[in-house]
Amino acid sequence: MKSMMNRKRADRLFRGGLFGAAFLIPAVLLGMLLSLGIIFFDEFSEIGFQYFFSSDWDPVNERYGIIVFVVGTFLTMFLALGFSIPFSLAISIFTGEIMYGTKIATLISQLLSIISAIPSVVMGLCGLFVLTPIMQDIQLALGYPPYGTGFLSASMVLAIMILPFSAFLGREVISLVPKDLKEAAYGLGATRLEVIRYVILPYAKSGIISGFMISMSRAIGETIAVTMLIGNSNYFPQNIFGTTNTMASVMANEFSEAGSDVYFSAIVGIGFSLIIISALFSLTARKIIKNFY
Amino acid sequence: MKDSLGFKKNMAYHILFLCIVLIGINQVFHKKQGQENTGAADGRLESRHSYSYSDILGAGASFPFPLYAKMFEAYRSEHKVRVNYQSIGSGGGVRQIRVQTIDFGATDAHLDDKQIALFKSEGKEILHIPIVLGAVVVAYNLKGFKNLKLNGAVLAGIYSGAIKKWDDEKIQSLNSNRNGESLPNKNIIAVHRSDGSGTTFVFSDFLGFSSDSWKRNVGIGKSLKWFRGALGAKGNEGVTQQIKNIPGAIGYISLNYALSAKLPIAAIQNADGKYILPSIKSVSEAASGQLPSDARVRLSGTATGGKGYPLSTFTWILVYKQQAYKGRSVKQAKELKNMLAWMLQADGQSLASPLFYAPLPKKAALQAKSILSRMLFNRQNL
Repeated sequence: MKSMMNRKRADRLFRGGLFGAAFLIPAVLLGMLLSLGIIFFDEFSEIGFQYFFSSDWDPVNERYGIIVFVVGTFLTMFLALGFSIPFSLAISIFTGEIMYGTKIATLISQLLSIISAIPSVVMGLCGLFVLTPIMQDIQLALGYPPYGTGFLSASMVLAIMILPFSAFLGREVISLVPKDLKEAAYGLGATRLEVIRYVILPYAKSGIISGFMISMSRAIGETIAVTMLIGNSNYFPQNIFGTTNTMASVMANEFSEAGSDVYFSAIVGIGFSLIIISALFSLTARKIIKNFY
Repeated sequence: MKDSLGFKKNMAYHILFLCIVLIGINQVFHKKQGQENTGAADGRLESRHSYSYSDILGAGASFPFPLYAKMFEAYRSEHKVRVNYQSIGSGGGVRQIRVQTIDFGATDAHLDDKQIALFKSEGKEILHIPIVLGAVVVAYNLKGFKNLKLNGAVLAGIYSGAIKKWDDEKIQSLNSNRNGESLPNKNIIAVHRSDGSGTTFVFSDFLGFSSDSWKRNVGIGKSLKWFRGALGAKGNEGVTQQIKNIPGAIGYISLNYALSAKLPIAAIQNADGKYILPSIKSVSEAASGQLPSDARVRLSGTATGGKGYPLSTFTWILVYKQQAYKGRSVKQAKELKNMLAWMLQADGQSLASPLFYAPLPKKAALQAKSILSRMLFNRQNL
């Protein structure tokens, strides 16, 4: 009888533990949002509503507008995603289907996990020392000023950084496609390409898309590598080689030396807005995807 | 309604809501306490107790960090006092000393009158102790063109996008009488620091001093609104790299970076009309004049004559005049004062020049020591 009581209590404790753990994350997120919001809105009367609509960022004259950074953030994110999608899909099909279970697939997966473990400052440095000189040659040849950095360079390095996330998830879901489905398709005379296209990809679709969503979130938040490569000018880019800025970069650049309280709040406000915007973005993206399929 | 684990689903939302409210209350409470008590709510104060008695805690500027690290290491082996310095940036240093979580702050830009007033309104008085001098250097990338000469007005023109080509008349006129060398018809690419930085502050201060239109249109600060064509790079190392990479680039960096990267350096015209190359000597020379009694002087924004290099600056350590705050002991205050005095003596100052910082000239060192002697503990001199 007593042991029965103990077991019940253990069960209750277990349940409580799970519950607490699960709600820790939303509590932390909301807590962060709240603390950022309090600092931000403390000086909001000074910062003003044009904060969300203006493209003028001028700390000397205490004028703050973040629209350039918002555009820059999404520009680099979408471009990086565009660069990474073909490679990520190819890698997931290769390692999850064509070469599944072979040594080569394992090797590629291991290399990918090494890429995901490279600190972003190292990626940024590689970009600065290797990619920008190449970009400069291209820009000189095409008659653009040879900055080397810019949103294009930043997106290219970012694409490599976000690739492992979607590739891993893609590989997992593709390898989980039931064998009998594939065999049935082959039995009907489908080629390998047709099996991949009409059986595997539709089956694994939701997992693959989730992988891209994770990649996107990662791209929105990436800071150091982008900061080193984007050129850090607070203007909209003029051409494909143009320099601009992202929300995370501005914070990384200016946070530590933000002297006045208003300036400090304006920078904290970027963090606040970044969380809100990326939450809205991921909700809308999910909704759109749901409606499509 | 119960789910499989036996929870009422509503309850989950209630608890979540409770969490949020608790966090909110905590935030508001901390904030209020901070206002009344000038920042009692900071975890670092508690954590201090875990240090040994003789630890000194400092935070601030990253520009003098290599030197400070060297100095504190030497001081520790000599005097068995550990100094814990976090190079979180000048802005952070000022913020931390304001909320009294550290023993000293460090900054590359002295507090302006507005900040002094802000401290005063909280009943606090800060002492500025100049430690060493540093210089901002204008480096460039022009193959085959050495010994470039520039002045503040031309630099302001370049960094506001008005002067676009290297063979612009205004640059030519400063660099005439060359045998064989001529400035190329190349675009100038102006590289600036993208991160908020004391280096930018000193540079813009000098441009504002030299050009009224710069002062009016761009201003003086650690982060500026640059013209569209300017290229931002993060940190001294980022700017150095871009100058190296891009033919026709010009940029401002601190002296040690320019020297170790072996980039060509421009001589800058000082108030006496002389073109001066930055060196430890010419930077020290810039501070040889009479300093104001609180040592708050922007060398880059005042006329520098003689052999002085105009883009020079002090770097300061900030301490409270009244050392009895936040339960500090006399011993702690004395340790701090001894350490600062050591930095101003030959022991500390001799470490500066190998790391490309300029030691204080005699007059400035005396002044710094006299400021240091104003430190109090309650009514007693330390």
